[in-house]
Amino acid sequence: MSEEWYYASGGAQQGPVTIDDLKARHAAGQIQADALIWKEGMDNWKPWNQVAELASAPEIVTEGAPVSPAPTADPVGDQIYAPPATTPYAGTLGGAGGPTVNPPNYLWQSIACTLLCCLPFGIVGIVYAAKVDGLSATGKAAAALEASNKAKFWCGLSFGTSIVCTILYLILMVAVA
Amino acid sequence: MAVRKWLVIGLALGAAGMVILVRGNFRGLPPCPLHSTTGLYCPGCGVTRASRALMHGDLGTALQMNAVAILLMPLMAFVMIREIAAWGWQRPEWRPGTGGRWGIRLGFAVILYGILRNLPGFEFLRPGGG
Repeated sequence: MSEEWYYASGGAQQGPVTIDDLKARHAAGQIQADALIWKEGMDNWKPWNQVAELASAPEIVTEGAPVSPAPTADPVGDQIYAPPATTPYAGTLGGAGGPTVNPPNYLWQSIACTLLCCLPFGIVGIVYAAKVDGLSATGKAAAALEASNKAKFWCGLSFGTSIVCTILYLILMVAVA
Repeated sequence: MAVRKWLVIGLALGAAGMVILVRGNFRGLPPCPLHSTTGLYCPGCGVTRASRALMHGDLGTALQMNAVAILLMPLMAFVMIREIAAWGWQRPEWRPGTGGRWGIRLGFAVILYGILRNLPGFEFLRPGGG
């Protein structure tokens, strides 16, 4: 009952919604038959018409009770359909759950940190960042994620240290003046 | 939206920093803690002076201070603006590409620049030409 379903719409991940909501949206024409669907436990996104629980569902049940209204016309519904705390963007950053996505390599960030933060930590970031894509390409997902996390860590350390140094310097300047 | 709030705070701090850097009347710019403790020239050495010179319209001095950073500035601005916009508007499809093989080469070129600046015979790569 409490299964959380996600679907892709307009290039962004939507959900979580219940299976009933999902069917209602499909019936309202918001989700096409070839839209990608995913829920916890599925190893990857699948088109609507290949998901066993959905493909057998009747298109629109016209007899009996009217079809539930479109979510946009329902203010209470809007709250139910509010986006989850984990945004699609956060999801692509190696977040929990979801289909596997190649980890970001943090190369641009490492180069920027090396040039702007004036600390050798950015160099360590570049070295790890350079490994990420190669590891992803050869299927070493765990090693790629580890390299990605290390690049992110050294980048953040470089950025954080330079921010702290700048603040300390400003305090020192004010104290001396 | 919390993300947008941080975006505004960040942009405001950046603008304030720029004004201080351009308008501020320094007897000298803040010294780099790494250079003052170790004497090493890192790949970013001279960027503050270069940025200040650039904002005063002095491209020649800017290039003397850190030519690599000045030459990479348009590219860095391009990828960083895309990254920040993707984060601020939560649109992952706006993020810059990974850079591929040339991105990695660029990264190592920056490291090499940092090493060469410290070697004898390459003093011309240091801020102000050694």
